[in-house]
Amino acid sequence: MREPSAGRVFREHLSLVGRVGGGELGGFIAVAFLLCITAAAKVTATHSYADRVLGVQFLALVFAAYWPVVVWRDEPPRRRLHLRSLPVDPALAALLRVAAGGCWLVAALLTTNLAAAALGAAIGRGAEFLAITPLAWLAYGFGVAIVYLLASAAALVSDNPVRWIVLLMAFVYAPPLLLEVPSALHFTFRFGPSALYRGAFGFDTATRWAVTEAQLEASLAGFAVGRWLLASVVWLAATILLVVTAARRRPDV
Amino acid sequence: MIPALPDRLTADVFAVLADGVKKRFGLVDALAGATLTVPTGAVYLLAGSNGAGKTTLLKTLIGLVRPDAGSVRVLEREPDRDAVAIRARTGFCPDDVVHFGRRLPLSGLLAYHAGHYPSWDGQYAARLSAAFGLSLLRPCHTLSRSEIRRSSLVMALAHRPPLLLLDEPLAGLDPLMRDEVLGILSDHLAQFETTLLVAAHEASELAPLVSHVGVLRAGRFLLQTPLPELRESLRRYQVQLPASWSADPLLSAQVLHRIEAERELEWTLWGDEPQFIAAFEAAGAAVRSVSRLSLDDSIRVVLRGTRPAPDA
Repeated sequence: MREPSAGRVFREHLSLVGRVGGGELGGFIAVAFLLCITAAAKVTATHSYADRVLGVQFLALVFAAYWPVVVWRDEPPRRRLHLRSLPVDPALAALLRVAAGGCWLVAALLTTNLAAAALGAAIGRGAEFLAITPLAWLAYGFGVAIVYLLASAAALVSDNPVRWIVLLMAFVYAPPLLLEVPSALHFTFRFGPSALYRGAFGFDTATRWAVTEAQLEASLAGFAVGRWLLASVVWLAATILLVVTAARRRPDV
Repeated sequence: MIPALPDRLTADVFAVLADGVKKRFGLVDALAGATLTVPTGAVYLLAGSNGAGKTTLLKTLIGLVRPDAGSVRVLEREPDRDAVAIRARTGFCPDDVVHFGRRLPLSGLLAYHAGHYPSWDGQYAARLSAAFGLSLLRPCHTLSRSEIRRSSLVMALAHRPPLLLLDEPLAGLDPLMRDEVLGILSDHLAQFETTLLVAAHEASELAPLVSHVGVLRAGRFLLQTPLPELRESLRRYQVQLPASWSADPLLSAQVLHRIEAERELEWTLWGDEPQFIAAFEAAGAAVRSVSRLSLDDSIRVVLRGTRPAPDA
């Protein structure tokens, strides 16, 4: 009696995640498309269609943070008995599930962007959408991947990943608000968590997005694109390491 | 004095061999030096009260729980090193049955499970599902505990593994379904060369299948024996006592369970029947009857009547 190959196990996880999370994926694609329609209606001389459509990335980030909850639904660490009793190394099985979830996320993002491109073509803005630079796409991909991997690590180790994901989202979105507070809190924050968030290697820097390279440079407030790329790679590597570490945890079930 | 019950089995060829396995969860000793031998081809009933360590022991065998001490060999492999290979050759039906997948129909969950076992027999799985009355189109989150247990049995059996580990396979099933499960298990054992280790409270129902019995209490085996030996050696003696009678201290020390009235006693003893009868008669008592115990009663008597042996 043989053990299954890693490829076979990956296909099983891919199929499982697709069947279990099909509803959520469909919902995300539908909402994203609705936002694209709204974006198409609001195109102005200063804000292009592509610019507005990529603004939908906020939704992609939220979905990337939530998607691991769906991928691991009903299987918190101490109830992962079925997965752990299969003839596959549990760490490998967990990583293959994360990878399968990632594939479906990429498929959903491709679908939304293809739909957005088609919509752009329909309103005569197709060329504008196609002009988005590879670097901008890379920035888009980095942001979603980093958030998805962080949330996956939370889902791998926590019985209540939503709590961690809410904290993660707070980490993403609270700093800009806190930095506006003109007080001692501002001072403390600026030299504390702010460095993690807005420094050269900050989370915000790593998940920055823009339609054009010029926009990207402008949004980086003085950091060079090269440093942004390095920050993104560092964050991506760190989150991959985090997921691998989380997958290797083996609580008794 | 503690009755001398055999708490170890010897076998030339074994499917499972655990020696001195210890496992502690927080302050609780789930396994306190359990030593288990399951001969190849045996149907071994693992009995014991709730919290005795049966589930922990089964999980230890396939590497789901790492023991703190002791050694384990399953199908000539060690779970510490070769858990994946052991799990590929083992059908496991857990007690704490959990299905996932919400909207996923049961057929989808079975397909996902089947994908991990190259030797999965789809036709056999379909036959088992039909025999267990499972509706494959039902979403997993709508399944009852009984249906989840039955589908877990399909998952355990349908790749025809050489070793089956079933944890409370009859719990929560109605009497008709219990008969169905026992019939299917019996057919399975007749068709395929299988070693079965089953932890269960329903000893009498499983008795027709069982070849060996182990009784576990507080993480340690009180008794391990082939079933015929259990039937031969454990007897209940009803004895008429003379007016003045004092029990032979050696005989009294052998009692696993006792009910005593003024001129009568009923003792359950482990050992050689003619020897006990002779000992009673030598003390002036008359043995009125000697009876065998059912498997359920035997287990109950062992659990009540013995104290765990002190650490070696």
